[in-house]
Amino acid sequence: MSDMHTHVRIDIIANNEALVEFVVTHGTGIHARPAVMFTKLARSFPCVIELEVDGSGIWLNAKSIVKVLAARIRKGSTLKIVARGVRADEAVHALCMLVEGSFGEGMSHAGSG
Amino acid sequence: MPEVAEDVAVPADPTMPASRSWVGQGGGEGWFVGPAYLAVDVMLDPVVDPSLEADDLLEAIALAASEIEAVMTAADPLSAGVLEFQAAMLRDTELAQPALRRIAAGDGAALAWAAAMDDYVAAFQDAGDGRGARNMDLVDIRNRVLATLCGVPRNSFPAGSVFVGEDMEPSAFLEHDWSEGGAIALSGGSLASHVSMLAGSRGIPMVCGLGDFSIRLGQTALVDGSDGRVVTDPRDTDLGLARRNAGRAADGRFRAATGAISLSANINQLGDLELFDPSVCAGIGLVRTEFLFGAQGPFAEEELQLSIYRQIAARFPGPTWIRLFDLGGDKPLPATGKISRNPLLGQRGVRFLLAQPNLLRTQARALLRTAAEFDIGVTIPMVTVPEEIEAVRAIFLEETAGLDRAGVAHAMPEIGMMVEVPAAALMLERFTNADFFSIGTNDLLQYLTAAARDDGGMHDLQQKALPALAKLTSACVTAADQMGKRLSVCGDLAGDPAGVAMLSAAGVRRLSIGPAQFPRIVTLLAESARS
Repeated sequence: MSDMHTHVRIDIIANNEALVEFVVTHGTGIHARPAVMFTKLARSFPCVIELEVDGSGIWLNAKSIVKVLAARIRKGSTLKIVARGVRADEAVHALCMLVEGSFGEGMSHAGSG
Repeated sequence: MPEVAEDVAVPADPTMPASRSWVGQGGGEGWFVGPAYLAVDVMLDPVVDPSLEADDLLEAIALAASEIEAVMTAADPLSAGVLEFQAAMLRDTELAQPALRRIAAGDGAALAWAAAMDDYVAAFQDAGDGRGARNMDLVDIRNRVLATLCGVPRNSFPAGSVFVGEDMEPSAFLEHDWSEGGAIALSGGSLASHVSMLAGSRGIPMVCGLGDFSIRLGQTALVDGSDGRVVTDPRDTDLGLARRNAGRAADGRFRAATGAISLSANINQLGDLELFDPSVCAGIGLVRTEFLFGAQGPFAEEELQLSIYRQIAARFPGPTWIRLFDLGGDKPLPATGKISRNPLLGQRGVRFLLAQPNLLRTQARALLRTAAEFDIGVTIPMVTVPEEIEAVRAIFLEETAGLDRAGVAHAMPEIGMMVEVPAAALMLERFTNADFFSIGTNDLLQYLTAAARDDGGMHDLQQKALPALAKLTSACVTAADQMGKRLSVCGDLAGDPAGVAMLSAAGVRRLSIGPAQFPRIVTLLAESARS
């Protein structure tokens, strides 16, 4: 968790808009089970949430598991998450915590998937 | 790597088919012999029907999603977790977009869907987890929607058979009835797959990566998960090897986990059953029945007792020792009239039961009926002299006669005793009529030290007197060994690292432990087994 503060900065771009950029450190990246967790969490926020991988310039709907999976987010990928709307700041915070916290470490099942 | 290993031995009877064997990577647990069921390649070929359009596809996807969600609702948490990914994919409107674009360009729905999903499967091959395995969850989604779209029934294979195919879909595993056993033999597949994980958790033997191997529908096949062997038309020698493999695997697993000491569970209520790791739990050494039935306590009726005993006995493969109601003492029973002046030295345990035989008779009937189906032992609490065992056994026999007359299935369980009264512990060799012994360290220590266990001020005194308990326990182990009877220790000492060391030094090889202490003792024994 202490790592998080070294390379994560959440910018409040404007009212109701937040952006975070960080490097994914989770061992296997965001594949099946983590993608389920990630999109589930994203969908729990009312704001629009998009993500970009490795500066590709392509912004994807962070609430779509198909899109998140297709983005092939690996260990070492640079992830940008932007949220616009109600609770935007909270949303980027929560998603960033989920990824950086290695999905709660409760990945014993996913490890086999 | 798969390899073909032709059996060299020639069968004695020339009319008997020669057995052939193949080797892949074994997983799951144990072995199984049964008729082969040949699954068609799990990648269904789409039927081209141009009349199927976008709406049909979306409808089929929604139907597939609700089917998966229905399986999830009925499944255990592990299985539900496996399907959660599929449900999330099917509920994501993005999933169908590539297929809808193909439909817009003139493809039929089935063809468009199959092609679009094949693209996903190819794109996600090796995605993320680096295992190079085809993502069977995506294949599963593809085929489920296709089957719905084209009205093709999904593969369903008979219970008690061996699933043979290139790979297996997770939902096919979860929808299958495994109650009659079964096994999985795959030419492809991966031990890192969801199906492999599910097979492991259900104890289904599985071999994958067999490459090209030949087997006919209905041909008898042996699948040995422990050495990765598949043998068609197996002979006795093949089965013998499988049995030895299974024994070695269980033994190795057990030794790796706990060294020479076996661990059983103490159960106070049904919910406790889920708190023990079945891979290291040798059985149940103590069920405190007086806590099982909530407010009804020992007045619970026979059918309720039976159903709960059955659930408990069915949990672990090893034996289940169920203790008769241990009432009186520090577990007073309301509304029984007399109040003893000195309850811990008065009418408690078996003394109480023999004084209130109606409670004992109901419990005896429920236990006799449980024993018809399961390997249970009945433990008598607070035994002082062998005559008490005879008296309890006589009541069980009388109830047996009643059940006979009523035509109800029953069997006589083994009848053992708690060793918690010093007079009994000192004279264990006299208890030839007990089938097994269970030392209750809490009571034995308080009676040995004349110091009450619920009196906090006595704790230090009890601790200082532990060598007396160790000496007596050691004598009990020697007596039980000479009598050829099993002896287990339950009680707080068995869940305490220092206590385990002491009991182990006294020669105890069986411990029964509560859920809170169990993982700690497993870790402790595993560490000492390694060093």
